Amino acid sequence: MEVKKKVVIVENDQDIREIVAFILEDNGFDTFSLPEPSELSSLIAFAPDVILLDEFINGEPGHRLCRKIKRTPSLADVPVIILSTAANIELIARECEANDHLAKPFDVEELVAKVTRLLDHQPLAL
Amino acid sequence: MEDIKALQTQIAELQYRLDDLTDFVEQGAMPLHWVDRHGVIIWANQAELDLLGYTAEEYIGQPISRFHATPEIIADILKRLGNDETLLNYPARLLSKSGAVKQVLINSNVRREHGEFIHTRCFTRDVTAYFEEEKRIADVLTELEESDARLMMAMEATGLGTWEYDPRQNRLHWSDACKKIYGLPLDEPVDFETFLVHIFPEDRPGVEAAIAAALTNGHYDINFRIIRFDNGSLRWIRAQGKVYRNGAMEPERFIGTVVDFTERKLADEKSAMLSAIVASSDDAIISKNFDSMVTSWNDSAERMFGYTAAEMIGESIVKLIPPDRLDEEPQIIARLKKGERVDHFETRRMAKDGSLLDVSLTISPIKDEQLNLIGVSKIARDITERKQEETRKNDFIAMVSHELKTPLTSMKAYLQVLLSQSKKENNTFQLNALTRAEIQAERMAVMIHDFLTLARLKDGKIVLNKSVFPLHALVEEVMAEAPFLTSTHQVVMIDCHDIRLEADREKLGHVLINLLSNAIKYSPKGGRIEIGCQQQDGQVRIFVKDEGIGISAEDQQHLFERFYRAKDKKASTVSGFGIGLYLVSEILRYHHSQIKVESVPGEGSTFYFLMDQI
Repeated sequence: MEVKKKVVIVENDQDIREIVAFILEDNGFDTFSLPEPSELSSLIAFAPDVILLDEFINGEPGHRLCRKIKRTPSLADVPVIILSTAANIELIARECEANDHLAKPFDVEELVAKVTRLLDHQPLAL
Repeated sequence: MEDIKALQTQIAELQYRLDDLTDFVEQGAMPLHWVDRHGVIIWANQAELDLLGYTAEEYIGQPISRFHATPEIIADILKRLGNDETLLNYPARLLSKSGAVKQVLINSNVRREHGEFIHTRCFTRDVTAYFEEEKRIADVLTELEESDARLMMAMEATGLGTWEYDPRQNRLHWSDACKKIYGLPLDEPVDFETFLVHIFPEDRPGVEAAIAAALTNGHYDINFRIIRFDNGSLRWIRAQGKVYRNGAMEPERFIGTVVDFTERKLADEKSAMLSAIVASSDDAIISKNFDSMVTSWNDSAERMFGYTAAEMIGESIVKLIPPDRLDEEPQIIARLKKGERVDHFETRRMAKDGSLLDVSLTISPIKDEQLNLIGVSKIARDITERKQEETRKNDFIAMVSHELKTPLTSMKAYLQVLLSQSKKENNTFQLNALTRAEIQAERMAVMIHDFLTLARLKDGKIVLNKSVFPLHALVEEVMAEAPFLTSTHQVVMIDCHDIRLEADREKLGHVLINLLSNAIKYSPKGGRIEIGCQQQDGQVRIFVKDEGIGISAEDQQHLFERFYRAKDKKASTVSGFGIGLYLVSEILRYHHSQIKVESVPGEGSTFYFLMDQI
């Protein structure tokens, strides 16, 4: 049986968190969602293949978390998608070295396509 | 014996007269000498020796030419005497023993016996003192003439007029220059009363008091306004004068000068006004030279940066520049040296206490009358508050954006999930209902986007991110949105291939989406919608055409105003913020284009605009 790819969803809004998890699981992914990561170790423990990161989360903004992820050796290679309602989302994503971005409100198909595309470009695990 | 005695008496008498005569010529005050036919001095009296300071031994027996300062003159004298001329007051210059030259007048003729030249009879009159006095007077006169000429020149150059008033006769005289100042024809006389009438009424009492005071204390110096005789214009003049008194100490002559200093006064007033403006300006106004040294510093500069004028004048402006922005100054100076201005350059500067201020700088080169660059003027406006306000506003917009879009995000996602499930289950009613719900959600997303874009636009700032791109790809992307906006219209693209534009692709896409969404909204019965292109003279006419309800002529005029909603009853039932078309027109305006509409009520509308092709 094929091992499911794991997606971490960091999203403040419960409704969005749940529907995104539902959509991704419906499309064959394993998900782990949380409103905000208390520590990066919780992410490391889950060993995600993709991280969906909302810009507007409690505590610290998503782009700062994104930069931390990119500087943590065990997470640096995990693709990050920034989700945001901000008009300048593209700039935010580029500056924090995120791999992609998705503007809210998004289309379900686009969400699935972006996650899938990033996983396809991942080097094969040995 | 008697005869002998008589003869002796006669001889004695003769001897007496000879002694007398000898004494007369030897001791007389008039210098006398004799010169023989060879020009050698054979006799001279004491007065002659005294005149030149020689002893008889040094003088007599010498050629007379030795004692003349001008050889040509003694040659001429001897020649004339040789010709039996009598010289009267012949001017000559003699050399005295001390080396001093004596100016003399010579009166001389020749004594002859039987036609033979015996000696000259020379009378020499010393006129040195007289001559020197004459020369001194001539020098004084020359000097006077020169200084008079200089004075005239100065008076002409400064337009200085002169006047003379005789208080006893009440007579007034003006020079031509003075008449020119008053605008009085040169051939017209003036009197004291006319003069008074042409003083500006408000100043008249002051002038009369000054004249009265001058007649008592002698001095007169006053500025006042006159009304010119010729054109009635008001001029500022300065009059200065002095009163001279006669033996009875009565004022006899009151003379003086007058000069028109209106231009200087106006220039002074203007300069004072400009200084006041600079001093009271809320902006820091600073001047500096090309070595960045501060040359002036107004009160606001002190208030803004904390340094006093004394602390900054002569110091480098670099004191105000934060370390990470030091490279700005050479760049600014380089631009100014080319004669360019720097307008509204937003940067940061450092106050004395080390705090950073957001400032907007306007810097211009200062040129002298010959247009040489002599320095730089700098106006710094403190925009810290404005920047903070901008930040607050942007934060607010970001928050509103987030608050509005977040519920829409989950709603849209839930709808799309439901929609795909309904498709699988083939539930027609649900499919229809969810499709409509999703279209409304999409409309709401567009409205929120427009609303927030407009909020940013109210800053008057729209930043275009231009690129060159093929138009058809953009139109295709816009058309791909159509299924999210409608299920009852047929959207087609017409002739948009092989066209390249230079524009802000995202914003132009927004224009097309807006026009498409309007076309859908205002054609409730469905039908065909065209997004098309027509090429003409290097430009392309991009249009969106619908078969909808159309727009009345009155509504067409106001369609692109902010928050305008159609008055037409059918149109006004359609929801919307009324900002879509305003935003379209603003985006196109920034692209130097303009949105236009052609419409017939009941038949449909065509919205179009022109863009340059690349």
